[in-house]
Amino acid sequence: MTVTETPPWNMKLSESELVGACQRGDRAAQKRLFESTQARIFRVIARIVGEREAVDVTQQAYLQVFRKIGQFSGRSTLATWVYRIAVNEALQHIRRRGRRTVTTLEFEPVDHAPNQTNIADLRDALDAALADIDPELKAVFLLKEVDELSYSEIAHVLSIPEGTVGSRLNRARRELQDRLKACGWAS
Amino acid sequence: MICAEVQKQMSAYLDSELSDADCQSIAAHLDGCTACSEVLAGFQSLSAVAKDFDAPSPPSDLWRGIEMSLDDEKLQIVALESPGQQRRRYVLAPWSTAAAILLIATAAIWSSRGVWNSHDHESMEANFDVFLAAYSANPEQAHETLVRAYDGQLISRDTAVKRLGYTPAALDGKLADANPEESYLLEMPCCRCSLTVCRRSDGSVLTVLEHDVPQPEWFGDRSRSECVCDGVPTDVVQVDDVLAASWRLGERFVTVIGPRNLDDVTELVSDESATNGG
Repeated sequence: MTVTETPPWNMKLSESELVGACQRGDRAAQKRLFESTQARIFRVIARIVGEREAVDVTQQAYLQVFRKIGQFSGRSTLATWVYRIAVNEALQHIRRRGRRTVTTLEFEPVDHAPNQTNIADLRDALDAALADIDPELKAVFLLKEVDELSYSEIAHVLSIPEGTVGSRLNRARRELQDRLKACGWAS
Repeated sequence: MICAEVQKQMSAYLDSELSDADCQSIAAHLDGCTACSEVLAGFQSLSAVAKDFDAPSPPSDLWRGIEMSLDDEKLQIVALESPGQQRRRYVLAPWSTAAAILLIATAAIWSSRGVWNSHDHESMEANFDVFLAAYSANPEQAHETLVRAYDGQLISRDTAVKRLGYTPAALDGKLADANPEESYLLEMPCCRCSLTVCRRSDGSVLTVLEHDVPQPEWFGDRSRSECVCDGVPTDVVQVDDVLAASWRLGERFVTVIGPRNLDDVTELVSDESATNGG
């Protein structure tokens, strides 16, 4: 897959050298890997778990990255490998949180039709609807719509068959539409 | 094509993931079908709104928090507490006085029972060493070492009650997000013990041992920390990239291998305490 990032190393340090340095606990190498990937990693985690908890989860994700760096096999790029760990850490977080938190839509069911003036409200309503659907559906929707990954990339990140990506996207989109309609948003 | 077939592939069509031939078939259907066209329009609206989401930026001190945790781990202390998690209290202390008392008390119990000798002790430590060393690479297979060494017998919930006098918490579904796949009864030198292999929703494995007395020697000279997780004293040991945690549950002890961090341990401890009224 092709999750692209600014190269996390300068021209003198190859990916394998960076991995080796991170394995040895070289703090400068770890920081370099962090700096080159953090923007995308934080963004996807914030979208999945919400901005309020994104800092904690991002920290956990990078700790996992540095603990597991010895398992990096080079079958994908280092940036993709980090991204995969981050998405799974975020999913793990909302699965755990899900058992204790009930998220509900906080929008009164009134008639809306999307236009320039209420598009921000619609965005908030979609955000709330996303918090209400199954985490697996939420993840696949966000990876497609926000990070614009292909089906094969999503399949790789989530370790699911490519055919499942399409069916989960269908379900996600339908469930989101249903929730928005229940709040009065026309499709 | 009929509507059901088209709608099944609607996302793939919208996302340009279909072959040209399939795209043309669906486009032809959409030309004459209002219902399917409305579904597509709805999906397109969602895409437009999602693309308008803000892109949050990481805070400037994010690395500092990670670096501090890395420093802590370097000191062999697992401490992942952060501002958002302050409702949980982890009390970390060196493996010290309390543990020493526990060891002395445990040794006294074993001594009074006279059920095992130093050879048993060394052999059990060696078997666990092999088991733990294999765990990271293949947690599904690692437990075979213990099953072979201790005459492991596959048990059901009913058999467990008859042979152990209790239903293992893991087999009883009392550990949240840990679906029991198989459970064994092990005849160990220290006690009769249950071993349950559980699968978590993310596909990872948890191995749960339930035993009559504490077993710190299972982990040899691995570095360990004494924690209090949601009020329950818990011993935590780093085993490669996972943790092993052990705590008291009523009249017996539970040792779980496979949690990924201290939050994970706390979830397990608190769930099990809650289901047992603790």
